Amino acid sequence: MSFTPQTRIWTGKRAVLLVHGIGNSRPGDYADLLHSVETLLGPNRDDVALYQLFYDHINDWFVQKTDASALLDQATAALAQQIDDPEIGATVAGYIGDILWPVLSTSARSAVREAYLAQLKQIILDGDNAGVPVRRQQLTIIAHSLGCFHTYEALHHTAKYGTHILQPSTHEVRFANVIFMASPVQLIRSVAERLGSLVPNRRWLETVQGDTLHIPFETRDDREQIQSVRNWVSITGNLDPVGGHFFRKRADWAYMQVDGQHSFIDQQFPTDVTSKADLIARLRASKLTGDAPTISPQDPHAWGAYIERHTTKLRDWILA
Amino acid sequence: MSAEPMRSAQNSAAHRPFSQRLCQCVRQRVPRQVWIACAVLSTLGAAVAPCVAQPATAARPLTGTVGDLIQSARASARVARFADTMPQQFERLQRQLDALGRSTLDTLPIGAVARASMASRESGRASFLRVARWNSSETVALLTPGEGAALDSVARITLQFLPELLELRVSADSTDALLAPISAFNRARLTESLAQSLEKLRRYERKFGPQSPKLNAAEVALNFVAQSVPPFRPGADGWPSAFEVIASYVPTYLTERDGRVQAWTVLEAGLRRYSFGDGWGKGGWAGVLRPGHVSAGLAMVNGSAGAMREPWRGDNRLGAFLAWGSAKIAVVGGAGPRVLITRQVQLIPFVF
Repeated sequence: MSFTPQTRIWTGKRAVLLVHGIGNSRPGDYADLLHSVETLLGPNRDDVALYQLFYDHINDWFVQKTDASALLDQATAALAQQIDDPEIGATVAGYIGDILWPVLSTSARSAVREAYLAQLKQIILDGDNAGVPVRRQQLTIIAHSLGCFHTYEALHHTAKYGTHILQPSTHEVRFANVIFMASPVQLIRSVAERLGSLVPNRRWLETVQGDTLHIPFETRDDREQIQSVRNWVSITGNLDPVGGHFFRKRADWAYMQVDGQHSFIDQQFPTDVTSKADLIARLRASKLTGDAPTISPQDPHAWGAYIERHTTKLRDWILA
Repeated sequence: MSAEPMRSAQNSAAHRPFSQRLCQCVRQRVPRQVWIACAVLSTLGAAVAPCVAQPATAARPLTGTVGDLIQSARASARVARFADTMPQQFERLQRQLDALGRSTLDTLPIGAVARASMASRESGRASFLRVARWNSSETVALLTPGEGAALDSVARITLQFLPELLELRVSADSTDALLAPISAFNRARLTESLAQSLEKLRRYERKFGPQSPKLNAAEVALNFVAQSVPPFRPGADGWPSAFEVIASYVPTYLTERDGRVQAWTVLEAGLRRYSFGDGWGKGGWAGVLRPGHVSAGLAMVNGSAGAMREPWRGDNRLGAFLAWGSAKIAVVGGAGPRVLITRQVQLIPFVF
C-alpha cells in the first residue's frame, strides 16, 4: 500500500494533525479519538481541518523484509538494566521495546519521517489552496507515544533542512501548538546513548543530538533563533512508563523535559476508582443492589483518556 | 511534474530498439533451454503495482514572474521602512536585488524557477555545487548561478524580516497582498518538495515494500552494519540507498546434464541494486525487461550436484551470478563449466 497524504478542504484557518503511537492502525482507525477531538471543538468543529497520520504500513515493510527481533532483544536488555527495579525492569522493558526499533534502522525512520513531512506539506498546501497564507495558518499537532518520537524527529529535520520548505523563519511555518502525550523521546534518547555504536547514523537521529532535548529552531540571518513551535506541551501520566513514570515515580532518564515546554503530569489510577470516597460509594451501591461492585482496570497509556482529561485545555490551545 | 510521464515515454521509445537488439543477441548466444527457462522464471515474478509519486491534490494554479517577486520585495521593503529599521539586512537585500537587474529575468515564470530551484537542491545549505548546478536546468537556462542564488536570498531575507515589520505599518491583509508573489514562490517550491517526499517513499516501497526480495538473517546483519556506510545508507535528506548486500544460500539452482535436470546449491555473495527510475519495476513483461532490481556477485558451488549441499566444503567451484529481477543465472568454472538458473525466492523466512 503506497502512502497518500490526507487532504482536506479548509473552511477556517486552523488544522489539527493527530499522530498515533504504537499499534497496527490503518486509515479509518482511531475513529473514537477523532470523534473526541471533534466533540471538544464544539461549534468550531467545522472551522478546523482534522488530519490523521497513519504510518504503520511503512513500519510493516521493514518488519516483513527484515527480522529485527535480535536487535530488539539487545535494546530491550539495555533498557532493563536502566530500570532500577528488578521486578518490573524486564517486563516494562519488553513493553516499551516496541518503540525502539525505528532507532535501529536508518531507512525505517527516514521513510516514516518522509511520510510525516509529506503530510505536513499537504496540510499547508491545503490551507494555501483555501486562501490562508502559511503565516496565517494555525497548525496543531497532537502526538501520542511513538508518534511523539516521529514528531520530534520530523520537526527538527524540517528546521534544519531547507529543502522541505518548512522552516519557521525562511518559510514561515510555525506551529501554534505541538502537544506530546506520553512521549518516549527522552526514554529513546537514554536507550540510544546506552546502545552506543549499535545505533546507526546517530548524527541524523535528532533525539540524541545536543546536550539536552530542545525545541527545534532556525537561526535567522541576523543570528536570532526562531522556534518552530509557539506552544510546546508535554502531557503524561504518573503510571505511564512510556511517558517516563514508574509507579508514580518520575524517572529523569525517561521523562521528556524540554526547555520552554509546558508540562502536565496526570494523576492516574490502576482502576477507575479515583478516590477513597469513590470506592466507599461503589461498595455501598453494591451492598444495596446485591451485585458485585463494578471496578474496571485502566490503561495508563490510553490516548483517548489523555484527550478526555484535557478537553478544555486542548480546545483553548487549538482555538487560541 | 506533468512533463515526467512524457519524458519517460520518450526514453522508453528511445531504448526499445536497443532492448530488441539485446534480446536477439542473447537468443543467439545462450542455449535454447536456458533462454526458455529464464523467460518462464521471469514471468513467475509477482506483479508489482505501479506507483507514481503524485501529490494528493494539485496546488492552485501558479501565476507570476520573477519580475513580480522582485517588485514585491522592493515594495515591501519600502512600506516596512526596512532601510531605517534594519539597515544591515536592507543592504543585503539591496545587493541581491541588484544582482537580479537584467530585464530579461522579469518575464521568467515563477513556477519554472521554483522547480529548478528545488531540483538543484540536495540540502538546505547553499554550497558551491548547489549553486553551480542551478544552470543545469534547461527550463531556466537564462538564469545564471549567481542570479539563482540571489533569488533564493531575496525570498529568504524578505520573509525572515519583513512580515513582522509590515504588520506594524499596514493591515494583515495588506501584508499578505504585498508578499503574495514571494509566498507563491514558496508555495511552488513546497509543491515540488511534496512531490520529492512522495518519490522518496515510492523508492522506499520498491526497496522495502511487499514486492521486494526478503532478506535472510545473515543479510539482515550485513545490511545493518552496511547502513552506516555511504553507498548503503540513506542520504541526509532521506533519499534511500539503491544498494543492498546479498549473502544467500540458494538450494534451488537448476542445470541440465545429459538430458536430465539437476539441482545445485549455490552460495551467493554480492550486491543488489534497485532501479528507481520510472518505467522500472512494473509487473508483467515490462517488469521482465525493466525489473525493479538487479544483482551480481560471486557464486560458489559444491563439487557435486544436489540441493541442500554445503558449497564451502569439498571440491568447490567458483563463478559468478547475475540476477535480472527474479530471474537468476550463475556460471561456475572448474572441470566442465556450468550454467545454472533459478528465480529469486525465499523458501524459509529469514533462512534461505
